[in-house]
Amino acid sequence: MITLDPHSSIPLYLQLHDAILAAIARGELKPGTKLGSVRAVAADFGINPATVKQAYDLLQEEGVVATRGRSGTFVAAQRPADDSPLRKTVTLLLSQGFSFAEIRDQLDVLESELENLR
Amino acid sequence: MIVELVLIALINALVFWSGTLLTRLAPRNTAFGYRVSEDFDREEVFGPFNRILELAAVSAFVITLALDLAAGSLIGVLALPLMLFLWFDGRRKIRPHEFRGVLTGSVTEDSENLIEVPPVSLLGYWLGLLVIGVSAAYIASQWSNIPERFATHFSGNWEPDAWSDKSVLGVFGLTFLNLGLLVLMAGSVLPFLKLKIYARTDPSEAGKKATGAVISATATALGWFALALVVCLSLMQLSIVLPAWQSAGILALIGTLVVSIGGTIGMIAYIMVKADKARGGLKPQFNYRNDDQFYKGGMFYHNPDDPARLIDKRDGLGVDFNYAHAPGKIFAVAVVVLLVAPLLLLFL
Repeated sequence: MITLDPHSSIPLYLQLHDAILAAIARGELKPGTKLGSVRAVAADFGINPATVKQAYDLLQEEGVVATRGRSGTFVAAQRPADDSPLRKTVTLLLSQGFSFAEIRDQLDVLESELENLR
Repeated sequence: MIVELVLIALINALVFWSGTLLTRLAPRNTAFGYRVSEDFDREEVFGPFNRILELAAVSAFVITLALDLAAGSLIGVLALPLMLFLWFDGRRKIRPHEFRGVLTGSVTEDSENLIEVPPVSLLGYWLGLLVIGVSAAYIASQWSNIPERFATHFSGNWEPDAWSDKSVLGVFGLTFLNLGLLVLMAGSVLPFLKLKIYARTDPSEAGKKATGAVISATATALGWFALALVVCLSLMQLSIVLPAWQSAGILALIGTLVVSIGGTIGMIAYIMVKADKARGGLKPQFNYRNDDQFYKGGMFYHNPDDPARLIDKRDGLGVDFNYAHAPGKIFAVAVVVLLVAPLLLLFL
Protein backbone atom coordinates (compact mmCIF):
# COMPACT_ATOMS: atom_id res chain seq x y z
CA MET A 1 0.00 0.00 0.00
CA ILE A 2 1.25 3.45 -0.93
CA THR A 3 0.15 6.60 0.86
CA LEU A 4 0.02 10.06 -0.73
CA ASP A 5 -0.61 13.31 1.08
CA PRO A 6 -2.73 15.73 -0.97
CA HIS A 7 -1.97 18.55 1.48
CA SER A 8 1.81 18.31 1.12
CA SER A 9 3.76 20.97 -0.77
CA ILE A 10 5.42 18.15 -2.77
CA PRO A 11 3.38 17.57 -5.95
CA LEU A 12 1.40 14.30 -6.05
CA TYR A 13 3.27 12.97 -9.11
CA LEU A 14 6.61 13.37 -7.29
CA GLN A 15 5.21 11.68 -4.16
CA LEU A 16 4.05 8.76 -6.32
CA HIS A 17 7.43 8.65 -8.12
CA ASP A 18 9.32 8.64 -4.81
CA ALA A 19 7.01 6.01 -3.32
CA ILE A 20 7.56 3.67 -6.27
CA LEU A 21 11.34 4.20 -6.03
CA ALA A 22 11.21 3.40 -2.31
CA ALA A 23 9.11 0.28 -2.93
CA ILE A 24 11.65 -0.93 -5.51
CA ALA A 25 14.55 -0.19 -3.12
CA ARG A 26 12.78 -2.13 -0.33
CA GLY A 27 12.31 -5.07 -2.67
CA GLU A 28 8.51 -4.87 -2.57
CA LEU A 29 8.44 -4.21 -6.30
CA LYS A 30 10.77 -6.72 -7.92
CA PRO A 31 12.36 -6.24 -11.37
CA GLY A 32 9.92 -7.40 -14.04
CA THR A 33 6.83 -6.61 -11.92
CA LYS A 34 4.04 -5.16 -14.01
CA LEU A 35 2.76 -1.83 -12.77
CA GLY A 36 -0.95 -1.11 -12.97
CA SER A 37 -2.22 0.84 -15.99
CA VAL A 38 -2.28 4.63 -15.63
CA ARG A 39 -6.08 4.60 -15.50
CA ALA A 40 -6.35 1.75 -13.00
CA VAL A 41 -3.78 3.26 -10.60
CA ALA A 42 -5.41 6.70 -10.89
CA ALA A 43 -8.82 5.18 -10.13
CA ASP A 44 -7.44 3.25 -7.15
CA PHE A 45 -5.96 6.39 -5.55
CA GLY A 46 -8.74 8.65 -6.78
CA ILE A 47 -6.32 11.01 -8.55
CA ASN A 48 -6.03 12.40 -12.08
CA PRO A 49 -4.60 9.90 -14.64
CA ALA A 50 -2.30 12.69 -15.88
CA THR A 51 -0.60 12.68 -12.45
CA VAL A 52 0.14 8.94 -12.70
CA LYS A 53 1.34 9.37 -16.29
CA GLN A 54 3.72 12.14 -15.16
CA ALA A 55 5.19 9.88 -12.45
CA TYR A 56 5.55 6.95 -14.88
CA ASP A 57 7.18 9.20 -17.51
CA LEU A 58 9.73 10.47 -15.00
CA LEU A 59 10.51 6.90 -13.84
CA GLN A 60 10.91 5.85 -17.47
CA GLU A 61 13.21 8.79 -18.17
CA GLU A 62 15.37 7.67 -15.23
CA GLY A 63 15.41 4.11 -16.57
CA VAL A 64 13.67 2.72 -13.45
CA VAL A 65 10.71 1.38 -15.40
CA ALA A 66 10.29 0.36 -19.02
CA THR A 67 7.24 0.50 -21.24
CA ARG A 68 6.85 -2.50 -23.52
CA GLY A 69 4.50 -1.30 -26.23
CA ARG A 70 0.90 -2.03 -25.41
CA SER A 71 1.62 -4.68 -22.78
CA GLY A 72 2.23 -2.10 -20.07
CA THR A 73 4.86 -0.63 -17.76
CA PHE A 74 7.31 -2.89 -15.94
CA VAL A 75 9.95 -2.40 -13.27
CA ALA A 76 13.20 -2.40 -15.32
CA ALA A 77 14.93 -5.76 -15.07
CA GLN A 78 18.45 -4.56 -15.68
CA ARG A 79 20.50 -1.58 -14.70
CA PRO A 80 21.91 0.55 -17.53
CA ALA A 81 25.10 -0.74 -19.25
CA ASP A 82 27.29 2.16 -18.19
CA ASP A 83 27.46 3.94 -14.85
CA SER A 84 26.48 7.35 -16.25
CA PRO A 85 23.26 7.69 -14.13
CA LEU A 86 25.29 6.96 -10.97
CA ARG A 87 27.91 9.55 -11.89
CA LYS A 88 25.21 12.07 -12.81
CA THR A 89 23.41 11.63 -9.47
CA VAL A 90 26.60 11.96 -7.40
CA THR A 91 27.63 15.05 -9.39
CA LEU A 92 24.17 16.54 -8.78
CA LEU A 93 24.48 15.94 -5.03
CA LEU A 94 27.98 17.47 -4.93
CA SER A 95 26.76 20.49 -6.88
CA GLN A 96 24.01 20.95 -4.28
CA GLY A 97 26.65 21.26 -1.57
CA PHE A 98 26.71 17.73 -0.12
CA SER A 99 30.19 16.56 0.83
CA PHE A 100 31.68 13.15 -0.03
CA ALA A 101 31.55 12.29 3.68
CA GLU A 102 27.82 13.13 3.91
CA ILE A 103 27.05 11.02 0.84
CA ARG A 104 29.05 8.08 2.29
CA ASP A 105 27.27 8.42 5.68
CA GLN A 106 23.88 8.49 3.98
CA LEU A 107 24.80 5.37 2.00
CA ASP A 108 25.64 3.56 5.24
CA VAL A 109 22.34 4.60 6.81
CA LEU A 110 20.37 3.45 3.73
CA GLU A 111 22.27 0.16 3.62
CA SER A 112 21.52 -0.69 7.24
CA GLU A 113 17.85 0.31 6.80
CA LEU A 114 17.46 -1.97 3.81
CA GLU A 115 19.35 -4.78 5.61
CA ASN A 116 16.83 -4.56 8.47
CA LEU A 117 13.95 -4.83 6.04
CA ARG A 118 15.28 -8.01 4.42
CA MET B 1 -58.96 35.04 17.67
CA ILE B 2 -56.84 34.38 20.77
CA VAL B 3 -56.77 30.65 19.95
CA GLU B 4 -55.49 31.45 16.47
CA LEU B 5 -52.82 33.79 17.86
CA VAL B 6 -51.59 31.14 20.33
CA LEU B 7 -51.55 28.60 17.51
CA ILE B 8 -49.49 30.92 15.28
CA ALA B 9 -47.15 31.63 18.23
CA LEU B 10 -46.68 27.89 18.77
CA ILE B 11 -45.99 27.31 15.07
CA ASN B 12 -43.45 30.18 15.07
CA ALA B 13 -41.71 28.72 18.12
CA LEU B 14 -41.66 25.30 16.44
CA VAL B 15 -40.13 26.75 13.26
CA PHE B 16 -37.24 28.25 15.26
CA TRP B 17 -36.86 25.15 17.43
CA SER B 18 -36.77 22.86 14.35
CA GLY B 19 -33.29 24.24 13.61
CA THR B 20 -31.92 22.32 16.60
CA LEU B 21 -32.89 19.06 14.86
CA LEU B 22 -30.11 19.80 12.41
CA THR B 23 -27.38 19.21 14.98
CA ARG B 24 -29.29 16.47 16.80
CA LEU B 25 -29.83 14.42 13.65
CA ALA B 26 -26.45 15.14 12.03
CA PRO B 27 -24.37 11.97 11.59
CA ARG B 28 -21.32 11.72 13.81
CA ASN B 29 -18.20 13.23 12.28
CA THR B 30 -20.02 15.21 9.63
CA ALA B 31 -21.13 18.11 11.74
CA PHE B 32 -21.95 21.12 9.54
CA GLY B 33 -20.81 19.13 6.50
CA TYR B 34 -17.17 18.85 7.54
CA ARG B 35 -15.61 15.58 8.60
CA VAL B 36 -14.00 15.98 12.01
CA SER B 37 -12.18 13.38 14.06
CA GLU B 38 -14.18 11.06 16.32
CA ASP B 39 -12.82 12.53 19.55
CA PHE B 40 -13.68 16.08 18.57
CA ASP B 41 -16.12 17.46 21.11
CA ARG B 42 -19.04 18.34 18.92
CA GLU B 43 -21.28 19.39 21.81
CA GLU B 44 -19.03 22.38 22.38
CA VAL B 45 -19.72 23.66 18.89
CA PHE B 46 -23.37 22.69 18.84
CA GLY B 47 -24.10 24.20 22.28
CA PRO B 48 -24.42 27.90 21.29
CA PHE B 49 -26.15 26.92 18.03
CA ASN B 50 -28.93 25.10 19.88
CA ARG B 51 -29.13 27.58 22.81
CA ILE B 52 -29.70 30.52 20.44
CA LEU B 53 -32.42 28.65 18.53
CA GLU B 54 -34.15 27.59 21.75
CA LEU B 55 -34.03 31.19 23.01
CA ALA B 56 -35.31 32.39 19.62
CA ALA B 57 -38.19 29.87 19.84
CA VAL B 58 -39.29 31.22 23.24
CA SER B 59 -38.87 34.82 22.04
CA ALA B 60 -40.86 34.12 18.88
CA PHE B 61 -43.70 32.71 21.02
CA VAL B 62 -43.79 35.76 23.32
CA ILE B 63 -43.38 38.36 20.53
CA THR B 64 -46.08 36.73 18.40
CA LEU B 65 -48.53 36.91 21.31
CA ALA B 66 -47.75 40.63 21.70
CA LEU B 67 -48.53 41.33 18.04
CA ASP B 68 -51.72 40.99 16.05
CA LEU B 69 -52.42 37.98 13.83
CA ALA B 70 -51.11 39.46 10.55
CA ALA B 71 -47.80 40.73 12.00
CA GLY B 72 -47.37 37.61 14.19
CA SER B 73 -47.61 35.25 11.29
CA LEU B 74 -44.57 36.93 9.72
CA ILE B 75 -42.26 36.25 12.69
CA GLY B 76 -41.54 32.68 11.53
CA VAL B 77 -40.03 34.05 8.31
CA LEU B 78 -37.12 35.43 10.36
CA ALA B 79 -36.09 31.85 11.27
CA LEU B 80 -34.47 31.21 7.92
CA PRO B 81 -31.87 34.03 7.99
CA LEU B 82 -31.10 33.23 11.65
CA MET B 83 -30.58 29.52 10.92
CA LEU B 84 -28.43 30.34 7.90
CA PHE B 85 -26.29 32.71 9.98
CA LEU B 86 -25.85 30.09 12.74
CA TRP B 87 -25.07 27.39 10.18
CA PHE B 88 -22.31 29.42 8.53
CA ASP B 89 -21.01 30.55 11.93
CA GLY B 90 -20.93 26.90 13.08
CA ARG B 91 -19.11 25.88 9.90
CA ARG B 92 -16.54 28.62 10.40
CA LYS B 93 -15.85 27.32 13.92
CA ILE B 94 -15.65 23.65 13.01
CA ARG B 95 -13.56 24.20 9.85
CA PRO B 96 -10.16 24.23 11.67
CA HIS B 97 -10.98 20.79 13.09
CA GLU B 98 -11.65 19.30 9.65
CA PHE B 99 -9.99 15.93 9.18
CA ARG B 100 -7.30 16.03 6.51
CA GLY B 101 -6.85 12.58 5.09
CA VAL B 102 -4.31 10.82 2.90
CA LEU B 103 -4.77 8.90 -0.34
CA THR B 104 -3.95 5.22 -0.30
CA GLY B 105 -3.74 2.79 -3.17
CA SER B 106 -1.68 0.25 -5.08
CA VAL B 107 0.63 0.73 -8.06
CA THR B 108 0.51 -2.94 -9.07
CA GLU B 109 -2.38 -4.63 -10.79
CA ASP B 110 -4.06 -5.68 -7.52
CA SER B 111 -6.25 -2.77 -6.58
CA GLU B 112 -6.55 -1.66 -2.95
CA ASN B 113 -9.84 0.20 -3.16
CA LEU B 114 -11.75 -1.66 -5.86
CA ILE B 115 -14.96 -3.18 -4.50
CA GLU B 116 -15.85 -6.65 -5.70
CA VAL B 117 -19.53 -7.37 -6.17
CA PRO B 118 -20.46 -10.98 -5.25
CA PRO B 119 -22.34 -12.97 -7.95
CA VAL B 120 -25.86 -11.72 -8.67
CA SER B 121 -28.76 -14.10 -9.32
CA LEU B 122 -30.70 -12.88 -12.36
CA LEU B 123 -33.23 -15.72 -12.06
CA GLY B 124 -35.99 -13.36 -10.88
CA TYR B 125 -35.71 -11.24 -14.05
CA TRP B 126 -35.69 -14.28 -16.37
CA LEU B 127 -38.67 -15.88 -14.61
CA GLY B 128 -40.46 -12.54 -14.89
CA LEU B 129 -39.86 -12.54 -18.63
CA LEU B 130 -41.14 -16.13 -18.79
CA VAL B 131 -44.33 -15.23 -16.90
CA ILE B 132 -44.99 -12.29 -19.26
CA GLY B 133 -44.40 -14.52 -22.30
CA VAL B 134 -46.55 -17.41 -21.04
CA SER B 135 -49.48 -15.19 -20.04
CA ALA B 136 -49.34 -13.30 -23.35
CA ALA B 137 -49.24 -16.59 -25.30
CA TYR B 138 -52.15 -17.98 -23.27
CA ILE B 139 -54.24 -14.85 -23.89
CA ALA B 140 -53.41 -15.02 -27.62
CA SER B 141 -54.54 -18.67 -27.71
CA GLN B 142 -57.84 -17.67 -26.03
CA TRP B 143 -58.41 -14.76 -28.46
CA SER B 144 -61.90 -15.97 -29.48
CA ASN B 145 -63.03 -15.98 -25.81
CA ILE B 146 -62.19 -12.31 -25.29
CA PRO B 147 -65.37 -10.17 -25.34
CA GLU B 148 -65.64 -7.30 -27.84
CA ARG B 149 -65.64 -4.82 -24.95
CA PHE B 150 -64.16 -5.41 -21.50
CA ALA B 151 -63.93 -3.31 -18.34
CA THR B 152 -60.45 -1.92 -17.61
CA HIS B 153 -61.11 0.19 -14.55
CA PHE B 154 -63.36 -0.16 -11.52
CA SER B 155 -64.76 2.37 -9.09
CA GLY B 156 -64.51 2.08 -5.33
CA ASN B 157 -67.54 -0.20 -5.03
CA TRP B 158 -66.25 -2.54 -7.74
CA GLU B 159 -68.43 -1.08 -10.53
CA PRO B 160 -66.65 -0.83 -13.91
CA ASP B 161 -66.18 2.79 -14.99
CA ALA B 162 -63.85 2.46 -18.01
CA TRP B 163 -63.91 0.06 -20.94
CA SER B 164 -61.61 -0.97 -23.79
CA ASP B 165 -62.37 -2.42 -27.21
CA LYS B 166 -60.89 -5.74 -28.22
CA SER B 167 -57.66 -4.70 -29.94
CA VAL B 168 -54.02 -5.75 -29.74
CA LEU B 169 -53.14 -2.63 -27.73
CA GLY B 170 -56.17 -2.98 -25.46
CA VAL B 171 -55.62 -6.68 -24.72
CA PHE B 172 -51.82 -6.64 -24.50
CA GLY B 173 -51.41 -3.19 -22.91
CA LEU B 174 -50.51 -4.78 -19.57
CA THR B 175 -47.99 -7.06 -21.32
CA PHE B 176 -46.16 -3.97 -22.54
CA LEU B 177 -46.43 -2.36 -19.11
CA ASN B 178 -44.98 -5.51 -17.55
CA LEU B 179 -42.12 -5.56 -20.04
CA GLY B 180 -41.45 -1.90 -19.34
CA LEU B 181 -41.41 -2.60 -15.59
CA LEU B 182 -38.93 -5.45 -16.03
CA VAL B 183 -36.68 -3.40 -18.33
CA LEU B 184 -36.78 -0.48 -15.89
CA MET B 185 -35.81 -2.69 -12.93
CA ALA B 186 -33.04 -4.50 -14.84
CA GLY B 187 -31.85 -1.26 -16.45
CA SER B 188 -31.57 0.56 -13.15
CA VAL B 189 -29.42 -2.25 -11.74
CA LEU B 190 -27.15 -2.71 -14.77
CA PRO B 191 -24.87 0.36 -14.33
CA PHE B 192 -24.03 -0.78 -10.80
CA LEU B 193 -22.91 -4.18 -12.08
CA LYS B 194 -21.01 -2.86 -15.12
CA LEU B 195 -19.14 0.12 -13.64
CA LYS B 196 -16.22 -0.35 -11.26
CA ILE B 197 -16.91 0.75 -7.68
CA TYR B 198 -14.17 2.23 -5.51
CA ALA B 199 -14.05 2.65 -1.73
CA ARG B 200 -13.50 6.30 -0.81
CA THR B 201 -14.86 6.30 2.73
CA ASP B 202 -14.31 2.82 4.21
CA PRO B 203 -11.55 0.96 2.33
CA SER B 204 -11.21 -1.74 5.01
CA GLU B 205 -11.83 -5.32 3.86
CA ALA B 206 -15.04 -5.49 5.90
CA GLY B 207 -16.25 -2.18 4.52
CA LYS B 208 -15.57 -3.19 0.91
CA LYS B 209 -17.31 -6.54 1.43
CA ALA B 210 -20.38 -4.84 2.95
CA THR B 211 -20.67 -2.36 0.07
CA GLY B 212 -20.26 -5.14 -2.52
CA ALA B 213 -22.89 -7.23 -0.73
CA VAL B 214 -25.37 -4.34 -0.83
CA ILE B 215 -25.06 -4.06 -4.62
CA SER B 216 -25.31 -7.80 -5.18
CA ALA B 217 -28.26 -8.21 -2.80
CA THR B 218 -30.08 -5.22 -4.29
CA ALA B 219 -29.72 -6.54 -7.84
CA THR B 220 -30.87 -10.02 -6.80
CA ALA B 221 -33.76 -8.82 -4.64
CA LEU B 222 -35.00 -6.37 -7.26
CA GLY B 223 -35.30 -9.29 -9.71
CA TRP B 224 -37.56 -11.23 -7.35
CA PHE B 225 -39.52 -8.07 -6.56
CA ALA B 226 -40.05 -7.51 -10.30
CA LEU B 227 -41.17 -11.14 -10.70
CA ALA B 228 -43.73 -10.81 -7.90
CA LEU B 229 -45.13 -7.61 -9.44
CA VAL B 230 -45.20 -9.16 -12.93
CA VAL B 231 -47.13 -12.21 -11.61
CA CYS B 232 -49.74 -9.94 -9.97
CA LEU B 233 -50.09 -7.70 -13.02
CA SER B 234 -50.31 -10.71 -15.39
CA LEU B 235 -53.09 -12.14 -13.21
CA MET B 236 -54.79 -8.74 -13.38
CA GLN B 237 -54.51 -8.83 -17.18
CA LEU B 238 -56.04 -12.33 -17.34
CA SER B 239 -58.92 -11.28 -15.06
CA ILE B 240 -59.65 -8.22 -17.21
CA VAL B 241 -59.64 -9.76 -20.69
CA LEU B 242 -60.87 -13.32 -20.05
CA PRO B 243 -64.31 -13.76 -18.40
CA ALA B 244 -63.25 -17.19 -17.04
CA TRP B 245 -60.49 -15.51 -14.98
CA GLN B 246 -62.62 -12.63 -13.71
CA SER B 247 -62.63 -13.87 -10.11
CA ALA B 248 -58.81 -13.63 -9.98
CA GLY B 249 -59.07 -9.84 -10.17
CA ILE B 250 -59.47 -9.28 -6.44
CA LEU B 251 -56.58 -11.67 -5.76
CA ALA B 252 -54.38 -9.74 -8.19
CA LEU B 253 -55.31 -6.44 -6.55
CA ILE B 254 -54.56 -7.63 -3.03
CA GLY B 255 -51.39 -9.31 -4.30
CA THR B 256 -50.15 -6.07 -5.91
CA LEU B 257 -50.71 -4.14 -2.68
CA VAL B 258 -49.05 -6.80 -0.51
CA VAL B 259 -46.09 -7.14 -2.90
CA SER B 260 -45.57 -3.37 -3.21
CA ILE B 261 -45.48 -2.74 0.53
CA GLY B 262 -44.27 -6.09 1.88
CA GLY B 263 -41.80 -6.54 -0.98
CA THR B 264 -40.17 -3.18 -0.31
CA ILE B 265 -39.80 -3.89 3.41
CA GLY B 266 -38.58 -7.42 2.67
CA MET B 267 -36.04 -6.15 0.15
CA ILE B 268 -34.57 -3.64 2.58
CA ALA B 269 -34.37 -6.30 5.31
CA TYR B 270 -32.70 -8.79 2.92
CA ILE B 271 -30.12 -6.19 1.79
CA MET B 272 -29.32 -5.18 5.37
CA VAL B 273 -28.92 -8.78 6.52
CA LYS B 274 -26.61 -9.54 3.58
CA ALA B 275 -24.51 -6.42 4.25
CA ASP B 276 -24.31 -7.22 7.95
CA LYS B 277 -23.19 -10.78 7.23
CA ALA B 278 -20.55 -9.57 4.77
CA ARG B 279 -19.22 -7.07 7.30
CA GLY B 280 -18.79 -9.90 9.80
CA GLY B 281 -19.47 -7.75 12.87
CA LEU B 282 -16.53 -5.44 12.15
CA LYS B 283 -16.97 -1.72 12.61
CA PRO B 284 -16.39 0.72 9.73
CA GLN B 285 -12.83 2.01 9.53
CA PHE B 286 -13.15 5.45 8.06
CA ASN B 287 -10.23 6.62 6.03
CA TYR B 288 -11.47 10.19 5.66
CA ARG B 289 -9.33 10.04 2.55
CA ASN B 290 -11.37 12.51 0.62
CA ASP B 291 -11.60 16.09 1.64
CA ASP B 292 -14.80 17.91 2.30
CA GLN B 293 -14.14 20.09 -0.72
CA PHE B 294 -15.11 17.06 -2.84
CA TYR B 295 -18.35 16.43 -0.96
CA LYS B 296 -20.85 19.07 -2.05
CA GLY B 297 -23.30 19.82 0.74
CA GLY B 298 -21.35 17.32 2.82
CA MET B 299 -22.64 14.30 0.89
CA PHE B 300 -22.54 14.54 -2.93
CA TYR B 301 -19.11 13.44 -4.18
CA HIS B 302 -17.88 15.69 -6.99
CA ASN B 303 -14.22 15.16 -7.91
CA PRO B 304 -13.35 15.63 -11.60
CA ASP B 305 -9.79 14.32 -10.98
CA ASP B 306 -11.07 10.99 -9.66
CA PRO B 307 -11.73 8.56 -12.54
CA ALA B 308 -14.08 6.48 -10.33
CA ARG B 309 -17.69 6.68 -11.53
CA LEU B 310 -19.13 4.87 -8.52
CA ILE B 311 -17.94 5.13 -4.92
CA ASP B 312 -19.09 3.85 -1.53
CA LYS B 313 -21.50 6.12 0.30
CA ARG B 314 -20.11 8.62 2.78
CA ASP B 315 -22.87 7.92 5.27
CA GLY B 316 -24.91 4.76 5.40
CA LEU B 317 -24.94 1.65 3.24
CA GLY B 318 -24.43 1.29 -0.49
CA VAL B 319 -22.91 3.30 -3.29
CA ASP B 320 -23.21 6.73 -4.85
CA PHE B 321 -22.03 8.41 -8.04
CA ASN B 322 -19.10 10.71 -8.59
CA TYR B 323 -21.21 13.59 -9.85
CA ALA B 324 -18.29 15.06 -11.82
CA HIS B 325 -18.69 12.40 -14.55
CA ALA B 326 -21.40 11.57 -17.08
CA PRO B 327 -23.12 8.66 -15.23
CA GLY B 328 -23.52 10.78 -12.10
CA LYS B 329 -24.84 13.76 -14.07
CA ILE B 330 -27.33 11.54 -15.96
CA PHE B 331 -28.52 10.06 -12.67
CA ALA B 332 -28.91 13.51 -11.07
CA VAL B 333 -30.89 14.81 -14.07
CA ALA B 334 -33.07 11.66 -14.10
CA VAL B 335 -33.91 12.09 -10.40
CA VAL B 336 -34.80 15.76 -10.87
CA VAL B 337 -36.93 14.96 -13.94
CA LEU B 338 -38.74 12.16 -12.06
CA LEU B 339 -39.45 14.54 -9.19
CA VAL B 340 -40.50 17.51 -11.31
CA ALA B 341 -42.38 15.71 -14.12
CA PRO B 342 -45.45 14.80 -12.02
CA LEU B 343 -45.67 18.44 -10.88
CA LEU B 344 -45.47 19.66 -14.49
CA LEU B 345 -48.25 17.25 -15.48
CA LEU B 346 -50.58 19.23 -13.22
CA PHE B 347 -50.20 22.27 -15.49
CA LEU B 348 -50.66 20.45 -18.81
